[in-house]
Amino acid sequence: MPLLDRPAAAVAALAYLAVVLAIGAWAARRTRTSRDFFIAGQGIGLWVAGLATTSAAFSGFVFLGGPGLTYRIGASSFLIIASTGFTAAMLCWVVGRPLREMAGEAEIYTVPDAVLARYGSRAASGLAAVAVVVGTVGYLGAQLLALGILAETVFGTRELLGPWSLPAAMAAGLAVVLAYAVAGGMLAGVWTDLFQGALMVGAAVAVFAYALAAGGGLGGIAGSIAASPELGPEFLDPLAGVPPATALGFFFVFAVGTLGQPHMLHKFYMLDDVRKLRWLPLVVGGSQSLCLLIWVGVGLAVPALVAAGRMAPLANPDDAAPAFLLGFVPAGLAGLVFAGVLAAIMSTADSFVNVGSAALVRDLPRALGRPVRDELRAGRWATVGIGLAAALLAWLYGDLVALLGTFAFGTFAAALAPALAIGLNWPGVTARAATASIATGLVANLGLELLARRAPLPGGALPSAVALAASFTVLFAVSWLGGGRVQSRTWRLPCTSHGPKRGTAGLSQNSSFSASSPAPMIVDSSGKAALP
Amino acid sequence: MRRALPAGLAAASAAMLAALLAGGVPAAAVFGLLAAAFPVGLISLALARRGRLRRNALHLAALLVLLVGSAAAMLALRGAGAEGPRLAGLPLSLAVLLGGIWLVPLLLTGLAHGLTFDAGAPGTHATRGPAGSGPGAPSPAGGGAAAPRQGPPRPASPGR
Repeated sequence: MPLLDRPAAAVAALAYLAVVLAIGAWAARRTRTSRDFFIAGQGIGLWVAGLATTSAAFSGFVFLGGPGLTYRIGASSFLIIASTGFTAAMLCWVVGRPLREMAGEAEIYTVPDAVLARYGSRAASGLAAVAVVVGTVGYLGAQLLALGILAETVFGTRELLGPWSLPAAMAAGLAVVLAYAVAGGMLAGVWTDLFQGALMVGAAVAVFAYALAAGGGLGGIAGSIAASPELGPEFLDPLAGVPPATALGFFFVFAVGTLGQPHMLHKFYMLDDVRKLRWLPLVVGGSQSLCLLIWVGVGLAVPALVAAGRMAPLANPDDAAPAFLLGFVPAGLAGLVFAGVLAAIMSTADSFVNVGSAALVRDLPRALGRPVRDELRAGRWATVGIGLAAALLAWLYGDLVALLGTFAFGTFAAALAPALAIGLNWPGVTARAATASIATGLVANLGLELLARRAPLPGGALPSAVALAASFTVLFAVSWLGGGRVQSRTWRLPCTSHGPKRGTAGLSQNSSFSASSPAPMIVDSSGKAALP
Repeated sequence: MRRALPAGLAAASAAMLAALLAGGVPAAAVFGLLAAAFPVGLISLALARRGRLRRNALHLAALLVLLVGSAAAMLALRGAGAEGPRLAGLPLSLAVLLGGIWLVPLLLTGLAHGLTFDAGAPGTHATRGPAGSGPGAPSPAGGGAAAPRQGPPRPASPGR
């Protein structure tokens, strides 16, 4: 029975859509410059940044893909999310503070901007932009796939349209995402993220409670699964559902790889005050942990219900969350939860189209020495192009949402995390090393993913984990052994109203940067450093 | 420490890569233990860069023990089956994962970050500059001490 046949559910879902569109329309009127479009005018506070980060990070991957992956591989999937306990603080310590300070002192909108500012290398920045575009298409594809599955459930189109149901549902979702992303850019994204983040937290907590009730509590759920001949106690062993190298690879990629996720790093540029970083880890980590209850709750309850014979086995694991919501949650709450899941998907999709469009119209052209004149207009066209590419990938992919999401997350992780996490904190990293590391991460992740789809890697190693470890190794090896100048040292980017500048060569308010610098940064008349 | 941390992270990266390529459960165990310690190494590097490693040493040591200890416990409990120990109705290995890697570190790191946060610390992030000049410039061989802080700390708010 489609969700929309239940009036209470339909009202909740439609009310959600109305609010999102209203926020998009409001934000569109306030979007006047490329600064507004890409980093929300750099004027958001602690709660907005925290919930927006959660909302942008959590998506169809978490709410649909997560329970689906647990249904397929058991508790090993929890190694993807367990690192949430410390990743928020790690983000702030390792990259958040340096990035926020750089954004406060120079015109840095994107991760490739930060790479250019750190290394002074157009090659490194350009490769980072390529990684952002590749990862964006993959991640956005995962969102659209999840959106399609969700829309099929809500509208009941599977019976009506047959094989065209999923493409049609994805197309409808893409149209809504593009409508407010093109209109409002990141300002729309941030404010819708706030609304969506709050909705997601509430929805996840409610569903977790229903999941526990349906399964008879954690003990009851564990007992049903352990007693099942099909599942057995191995289902609940974090290192038994898949080879240990795969499970531990999940942990490595999703813990360390968080440091390279542009949609999360973007939020640091937007903070209006660096002091708001202080309690950000508790806000982000707390809200993320509450949201993840839906993964744990539904992920364990559905197999337990199947084992107990109270639910039919699923043909597609990604149907776990929708099937649970339709069968075990009251209609009104189910509508709200579907809206919350829709919120998660939409907010992440929106963040990604903006991150990807920034890479396409700002970073790549600048790396090639051909900056775009009208970034705002070009950004909107790029948004449409990326959305269409992602929809095509999602249509052709044909596997679980979580697996497509893992590939995309791994692309960002392997390509960007080493150059940022080490490079922003250790001056010994050379531009050549950063370039080699980004290239290694990008190529290795893509190549190993293609190889692994034909035959598993040795010991079941996760392609993204191998690529990430290789990227770190190359970064250090080239820094020490590969020659090239060590370009960095402790140095402060220009202050807009305070001096003296750090180091022997710094930016002054009305002059260009040191002539010896490979890619001089220019200070405009307002004292704001601008990338060349 | 500023030389030891990059060297340690480099060695850990290479060892993890080798373990992943080697395959097999023992190699996966080595990879898992190093992967659990790696985030603590990254945080230590960032804090050392700001001269705040000593102030956070206790939190980081606790986090290291939690993460590596939890990984070791999960490896030791692998395949314990239905007869294995339980906690809150869950198999112990799953309870260790949820408690030791997720919930306790959430409070530990969140509070540690907030309580030791220094808004007035100047922005001494590593970024590009001219090569090999000025005090504290790192050697190409790696590491290198940060230059001493100069000038007034930047105000927390950029005032825009």
